[in-house]
Amino acid sequence: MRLIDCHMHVHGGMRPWGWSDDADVIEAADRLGIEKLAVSIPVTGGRWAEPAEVRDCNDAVYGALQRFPDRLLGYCFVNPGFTHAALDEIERCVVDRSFIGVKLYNQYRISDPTVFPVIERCIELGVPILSHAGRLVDPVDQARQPLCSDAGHFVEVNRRYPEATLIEGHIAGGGDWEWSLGMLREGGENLFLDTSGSVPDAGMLERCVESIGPDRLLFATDMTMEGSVARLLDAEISDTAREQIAWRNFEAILGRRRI
Amino acid sequence: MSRIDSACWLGPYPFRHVPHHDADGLLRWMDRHEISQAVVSSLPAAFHRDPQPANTELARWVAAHRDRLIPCATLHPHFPGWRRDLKRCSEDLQMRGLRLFPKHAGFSLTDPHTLELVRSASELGWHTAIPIRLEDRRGRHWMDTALEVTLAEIADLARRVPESELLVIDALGVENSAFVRDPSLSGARVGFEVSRMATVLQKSVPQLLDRLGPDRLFFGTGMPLKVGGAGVLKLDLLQTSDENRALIAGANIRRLLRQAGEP
Repeated sequence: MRLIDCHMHVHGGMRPWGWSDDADVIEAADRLGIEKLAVSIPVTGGRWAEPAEVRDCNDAVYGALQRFPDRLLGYCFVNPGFTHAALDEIERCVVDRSFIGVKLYNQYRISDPTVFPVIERCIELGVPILSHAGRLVDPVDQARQPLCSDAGHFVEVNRRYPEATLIEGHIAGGGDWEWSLGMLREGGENLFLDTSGSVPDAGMLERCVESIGPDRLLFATDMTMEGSVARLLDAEISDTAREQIAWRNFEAILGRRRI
Repeated sequence: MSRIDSACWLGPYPFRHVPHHDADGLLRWMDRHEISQAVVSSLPAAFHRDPQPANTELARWVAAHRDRLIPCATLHPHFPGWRRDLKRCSEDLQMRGLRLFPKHAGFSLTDPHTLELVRSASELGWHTAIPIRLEDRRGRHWMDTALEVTLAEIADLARRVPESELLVIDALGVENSAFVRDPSLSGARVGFEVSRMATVLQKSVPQLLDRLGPDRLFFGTGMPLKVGGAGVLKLDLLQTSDENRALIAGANIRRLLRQAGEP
């Protein structure tokens, strides 16, 4: 079965993720049968992201794309708080360098009006927005990420911009995933959910399919390589649904690009 | 290669629906992943004031499948009469190990009662397994206040009971812990179940194999709480000798179970 990972990262810039060279990413993908990986380098850790740092991150992604052109697809990370810089960066990366979408982290909630110009530009370009997300319930996590988007924020944006292709990141990335699934049932057809993350709970993917259907689910790892592949392969779902999640849905999203 | 899962459970979990938590369900998953035997304990026992009725219930659940499901006792060192319960678990219920839940049951791993319980289990030939956690704390239920057990706490326990065989379930970060840095722990009889570690990319399992050797790594899945295929995949992807793989896949836990009297 083909696998396309819609949420992954590469090493570079100021972001060491725990491996020394991006060849390790390709090696891991080879061993797990992952054909392509859509990657980004966001500024994480609850930090503000200045435009210069954002450009460094995206330049490092571009370097990885040039190094592994047949295997990697790029997301352009932006900080929507710098509206003009963010829109310029989208032009530089998505239009000029063929990045496939935009990556948001937790500098703003996705439903914050500050983010709307970025969303509107992505609608014009026909590219997806992948955003870090989670329904954080632990006070320590909430304090670390006060502006982390949850499924409710995604549904809110989905109602305002039903034509925007939104990908809520990592259902298994930590947080109350059952609450997230309950909320995502309220979302429309262009609100997607990626299946990555380190939470190993059995039955999660089956619940995802029951809650929002296989049409809105996208396989991803977000660096949890074996666990995310096993989540998809172990799931008690139809082979048709598994194939949709594994690659078909994301390939269809890539086909929406207008430039 | 015979796979023996060192970290399985039976019974319902209080904070979310867990599919296939009965013996038949677990055995189906074991068949699918070509796992011949599994060491199991009662999930409800971790939450009960008195775990012994759940231990007895566990023995009933596995009775018809005793060739494949090997029960472990859950005991709380502050509960009155644990010595009697330990004896009953060993002699009447044919259990082969102990599991401790210090954060759920509210006790320290190094208080005198716990040390006595662990030593008593060792005298029976039992290993003592300590799950770091049952669920990822970031999504915890509002009634679940249990923190994760730390490797430092387990290291403290290991120093105090050097004669005991300890098994850390759901271990993470061991390759950078005192277990590889502190010479006083170099001879510790502490094993690590590896289902939470990565074999590819971050390569925690290969690093730990290099630093601790194959005798101290244990295959496990965490089924039915966890997706079983992850543990299986991590073992399958591990690039090592057939001898090392056989130890990790089953021979290490089989050695511990035989010390406890399992045929």
